[in-house]
Amino acid sequence: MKKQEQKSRLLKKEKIHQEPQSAGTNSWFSRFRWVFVTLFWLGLWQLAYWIIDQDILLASPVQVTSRFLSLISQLVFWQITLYSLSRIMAGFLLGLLAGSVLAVGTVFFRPVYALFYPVISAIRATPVSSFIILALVWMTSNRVVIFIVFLMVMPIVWANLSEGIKKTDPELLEMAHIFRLSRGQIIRSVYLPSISPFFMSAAITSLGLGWKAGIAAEVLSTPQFSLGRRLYESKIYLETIDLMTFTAVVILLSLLLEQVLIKTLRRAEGSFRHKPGKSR
Amino acid sequence: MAIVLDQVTKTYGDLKVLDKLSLTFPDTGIIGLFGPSGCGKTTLIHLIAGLQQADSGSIHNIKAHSVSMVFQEDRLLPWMTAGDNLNLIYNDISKTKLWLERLQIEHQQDAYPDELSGGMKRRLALARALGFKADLLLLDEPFKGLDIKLKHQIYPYVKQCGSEKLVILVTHDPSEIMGLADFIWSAGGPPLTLKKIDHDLFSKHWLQTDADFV
Repeated sequence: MKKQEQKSRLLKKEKIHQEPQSAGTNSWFSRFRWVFVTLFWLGLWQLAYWIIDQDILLASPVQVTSRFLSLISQLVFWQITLYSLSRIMAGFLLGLLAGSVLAVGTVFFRPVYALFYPVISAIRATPVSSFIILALVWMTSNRVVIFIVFLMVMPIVWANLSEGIKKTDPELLEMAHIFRLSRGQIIRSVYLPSISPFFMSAAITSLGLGWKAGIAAEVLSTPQFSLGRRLYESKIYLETIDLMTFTAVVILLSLLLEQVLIKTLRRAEGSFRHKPGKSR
Repeated sequence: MAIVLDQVTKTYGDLKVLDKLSLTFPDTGIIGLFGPSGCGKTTLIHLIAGLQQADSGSIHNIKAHSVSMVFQEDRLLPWMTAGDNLNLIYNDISKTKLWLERLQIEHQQDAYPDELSGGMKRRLALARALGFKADLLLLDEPFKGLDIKLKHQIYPYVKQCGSEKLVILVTHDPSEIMGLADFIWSAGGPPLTLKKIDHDLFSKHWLQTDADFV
């Protein structure tokens, strides 16, 4: 009985963090709200298409949908998508790893901070296009994309995690010191749960930015089998339907990746909050 | 080996909290440290616990002692249940259950700290410190927010610790001093001064103070 009460209290708390439901929880509108919102914007797009009435300037939602349906039936589309995804995810994961390692290094070792701070500041201030052009000189087009995504992700992760580590409650660290917790226990039980919200926010923000920068890098470096190359070619040959279809694919993939990342990180974050009765 | 403070000085900015303080603690027993807020009691026990460093002077034999402590704040890990907060320290589930039962919070074993009342959190912090194996127990206002009945139920565990090791109890409540302390040290300052007084004088003084206040 007690456990049920606690569970319902936890559920209530979680609900507080969810989106407010102004139109009433069970109302017909709120249940199908996303359908209305989508139809509204598609309608507006179709209206703009009718007003402009030039396929070279704006494709219609019907044209884009039909092109998308024809694309997904082609093997080459999946190859393109998979290659782009793998390049960008490689850069993202490398950026996460390097940013995390660097954050630990710069917070706990002042000389490392002094050494890396100017470099990271310079990276953050440099326009991404400068890096893409420079990278094109230095490396192959596949590596350019990975490198650019890495450069976008790493400073964000570094900054957020450094902040998270610095904001770990010193009183809890003192408690851990008094009760002689091992270094591993302090990392697992104090640091990781403290910094996990910072890591989550860094990962979600940097994935969006890294994805956009990665596609931009693909547009400029045009590696074979890449969404960016298809965007570039659509622009060159004035294929507006293709341009808008591939843009829609980029947006959809970005939303999908973000959702997958949020769910994965929430699951990981939940594991820091111990389940009742399961002592570690 | 007794803990000895030798000419210890500690300052915060311009405020000298400890000024060449020298004293020797007994090996066992409960020292009741009693005095006004801000006189330096917490600084003294933080120095003994090794949480702060003295500006000058030395504390002898402190490294030979392992320390357990109830802080002024509860300092519980908010992402762990009450049971896990204890078990992290004890690494022994049966011991965790025993101390949760002793402090009468066994029914809250699966609750997170933000689901506990102030008194329950305090009992959890007390359980953590009382059950932890150490040579020295530091209690900084340990019974804050607990009712008198609960306090009296916990006193035997503190007294048991006092019979085996040194316990330093910092409190503003004279009843806690009279109920627990083997030695009463009246604190003044800053800078912190300590005066040893006997139980009769202490109880007379506080009865008189209460009467004056009323």
